[in-house]
Amino acid sequence: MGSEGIPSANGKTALRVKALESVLLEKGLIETAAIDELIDMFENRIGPWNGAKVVARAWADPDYKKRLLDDGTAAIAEMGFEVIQGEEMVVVENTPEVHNVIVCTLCSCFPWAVMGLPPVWYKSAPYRARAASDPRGVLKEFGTEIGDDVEVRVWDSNAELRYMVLPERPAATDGLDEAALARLVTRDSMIGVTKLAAI
Amino acid sequence: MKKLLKVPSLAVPEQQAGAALPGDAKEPVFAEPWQAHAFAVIMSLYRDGHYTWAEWDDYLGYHIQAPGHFGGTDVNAGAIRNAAAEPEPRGANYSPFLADCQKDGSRFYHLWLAAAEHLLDATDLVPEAELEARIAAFEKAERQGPRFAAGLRVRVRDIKREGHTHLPLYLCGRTGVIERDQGLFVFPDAAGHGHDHSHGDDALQHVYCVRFSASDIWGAEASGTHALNFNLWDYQLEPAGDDS
Repeated sequence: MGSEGIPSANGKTALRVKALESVLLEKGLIETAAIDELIDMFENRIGPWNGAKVVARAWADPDYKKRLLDDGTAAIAEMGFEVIQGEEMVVVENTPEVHNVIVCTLCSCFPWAVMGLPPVWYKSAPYRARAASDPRGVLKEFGTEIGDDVEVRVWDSNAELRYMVLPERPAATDGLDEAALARLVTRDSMIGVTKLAAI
Repeated sequence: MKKLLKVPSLAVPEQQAGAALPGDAKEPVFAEPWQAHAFAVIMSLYRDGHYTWAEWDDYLGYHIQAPGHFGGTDVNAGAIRNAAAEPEPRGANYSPFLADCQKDGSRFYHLWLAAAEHLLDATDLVPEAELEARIAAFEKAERQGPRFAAGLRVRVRDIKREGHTHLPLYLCGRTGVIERDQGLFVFPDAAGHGHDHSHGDDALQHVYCVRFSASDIWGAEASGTHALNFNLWDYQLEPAGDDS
């Protein structure tokens, strides 16, 4: 609320949400504890660090990598990360020949189990439109240069199928264990808009 | 006694992790607490089987493709004002394209909320008219503020009526002092019981903690000098005046 009692745009929206929540509480359709639990889950318990652990293990363990690429949902569940609304997880691998990018052209589908909620730009109309029509241009905006000899593959996510990119392992990381490898991973590299720099 | 339903505070736990890794541009999971609550409400109803995720996705997709087609959520106005209030994204590597993405993406939860209102109306879980009435009640309550300030003497109204009054009847007519305003609460079953204080939109009331002395309540038979504190609804109280 503004100091003159005129609600700001955000204040007005917050009031709508409060009103909606109070009606649902009153009808017994939601419970405060369940709402708090869900918020805690998405703020603190799932996020891109889950995906970073998956990526690091795939880099370190060729058998796991094979399972991950064969059946993403099962291999991710192996790590203790369960999908949230029954979606299938597909992991696509970046190689010197192929660079993958994920997008949800219609809304904001995202691999929640391994990445949490998407970044703000991922949900925007400019990204959703341009990732499909001009992915190389979008990659340049993120500072990512992809050679003409590299194939760019764009994956459109939906409610049933969610993608995660397995980025290329940076050079000169042979001696690192999984925990150290996980620290090299970024969220943006698992969306495919960036590559991981050599350390 | 039916549990008081506290009006949600829209609080979120302190952020520990965020939506980004150390190598990414920093970003909170939710920019505003209301976004977290709008998100969680839809997730919670989905988990309880009120709709499928594909159904929700249809509504969300519809609003993302054609914003502002439902409800009073002024998506565009809100986004423009919000964008104006927000600092430009930091970092030298933000291209105009990425700045546009950032700005447009910040409307996302406005669209999410419009889709939520639309779906809940379509499924009859929360009809639009019911939501609008509650919003009006919230706005009215926020405008008016609490009727009684701390320290004010109040008398408990003499409410003698069939049914559940949410009032210990021995307090009727007694005088106490407002200890504190507890904030706005939804009066349980206000609509169903047809209390005279309730005109539908008055379901939302301040609750006050009111302190009574034992002798105020029990008179000469009071077995001590202790004080009793009760949480009472706004409609149960009236100003006592100085002579009480």
